[in-house]
Amino acid sequence: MAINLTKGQKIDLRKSSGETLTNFCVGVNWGAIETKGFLGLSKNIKEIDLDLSCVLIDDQNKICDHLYSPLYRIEALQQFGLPQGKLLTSDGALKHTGDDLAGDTGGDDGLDNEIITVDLSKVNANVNQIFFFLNNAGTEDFSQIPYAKIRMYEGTPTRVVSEFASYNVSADSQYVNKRSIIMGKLYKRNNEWKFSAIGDPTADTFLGQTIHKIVASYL
Amino acid sequence: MAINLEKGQRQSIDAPKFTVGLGWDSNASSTGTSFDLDASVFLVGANGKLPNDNHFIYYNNLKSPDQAVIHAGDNLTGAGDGDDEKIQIDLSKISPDVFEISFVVTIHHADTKRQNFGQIRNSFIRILDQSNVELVKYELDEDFSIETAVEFGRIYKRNEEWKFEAVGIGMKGGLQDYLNKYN
Repeated sequence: MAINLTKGQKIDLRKSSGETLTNFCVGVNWGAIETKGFLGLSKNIKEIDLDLSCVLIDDQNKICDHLYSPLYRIEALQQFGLPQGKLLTSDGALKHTGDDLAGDTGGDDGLDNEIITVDLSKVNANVNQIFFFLNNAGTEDFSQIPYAKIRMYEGTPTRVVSEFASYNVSADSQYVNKRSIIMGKLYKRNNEWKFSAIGDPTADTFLGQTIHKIVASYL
Repeated sequence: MAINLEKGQRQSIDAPKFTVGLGWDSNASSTGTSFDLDASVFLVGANGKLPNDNHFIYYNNLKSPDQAVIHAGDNLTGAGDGDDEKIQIDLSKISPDVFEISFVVTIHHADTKRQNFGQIRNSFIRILDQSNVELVKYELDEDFSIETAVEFGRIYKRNEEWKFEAVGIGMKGGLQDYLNKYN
C-alpha cells in the first residue's frame, strides 16, 4: 500500500517488508489544461512544460550538486551564480531522464512526465538533503494546472513496480500566480534517509529564484 | 546531550524546580501566514479533572493560584533563538489538590491555517533542570509531523514522590480537545 502524504508529513523509507528503500524513482506527473473549444465541439489542449529539478545540500548547508535541464540558458543561470544544467550527479547516484515538454494530454497516462532515479547507497557521504522542485517554463500557474503529483516508486522510468509514497498538489485558488512548487526533500536524520512533503508554492518565474529561496529559507 | 526518553518511559524527579521550553523557527510559510505554537499546562486533581478553570495555565492565564506554574508569556511567531515560550515549574509550591500535571503543545488556528507540526521547522519541546540540562526533548516536526497537538508529558504523584512520564501522544484536534478531556 502506497502512502498518500499530506503537506508537512515526514516519513522514513522503510518498506512494509522491513527493508529500506534505497533504489527508487522520484517521478512527477501533471495534467495538461483542457478547455472546451468553439461551441463545445472540440477540446483545446494546452500543453504544460514543467521542469523537475533537484539540488543537493551538504553538511555545511551548501549546494554541492544539482540536476536540472541542460536546456536552461547559461546566461540566465549565471545571473544566479548557477552552473549549466546536467542530468547526472557527480557521484552517479541520481539521474534525470530528461525534459518532458508537454505533460499528459487526454488524461493521466499512468507514467510520470519527469523522473529522477535515485540510488541512496551511492550518494556522497557529505550530502544531507536533496530538494525536489518544479518550475513552469510557461506562464500558467498552479491554480490552472489540474494536478501535480510527486511520488517515489520502485521500478524504472517506463515501468512502475511498486509505489512507495505519493504527494499530490491539486489545482487550488491559493496557487494563483504561483508558478513553481518546492515539492519535497529527501534528508538524512540520524544517518537514515527520510522524505518530507513540503509542497510550498512560490511565485518564481525562473529556477534560479527557487534555488535561492531554498538556500535562504529551507536550510 | 538530552536524555531522549522513549514514549511511556518514566523517571523520578528529584529536583522540584524545572523549566518547560518550547521553540520553533519563525519562517513564514509560503502562504504568508506565520506559525504560532502554544505551550499549556493542566493541573489536574485526583479525579483526573481540573479543580477549576484557573488550574489551566495557558496564554490567557499565566499563573497557577499556588504560583507553582508560571508561564513567561505568549510568543506569536517563534522569532528569536532557543526557547520561544517558557513555563517555570516549582513542585514544592504545588497545592495538595493537584495530583497530576499535563504538558501540552498546540498550533494556534491549525485548522484554519491548514498547518501541522511537520511544516514548522526546528520545532521542539523540552524540559530543562535548574542547570539548564535537557531532561527530555521531542522534535515536534519530526516526531509528530502530521499532528497539530501533542501531550508530550505528564508529572504525577506516586507515594508522595513526583514522577515524569514521557507521553508523546499526538492529536489532530486543538486545545479544545484537551479541555474536553480535563474538564
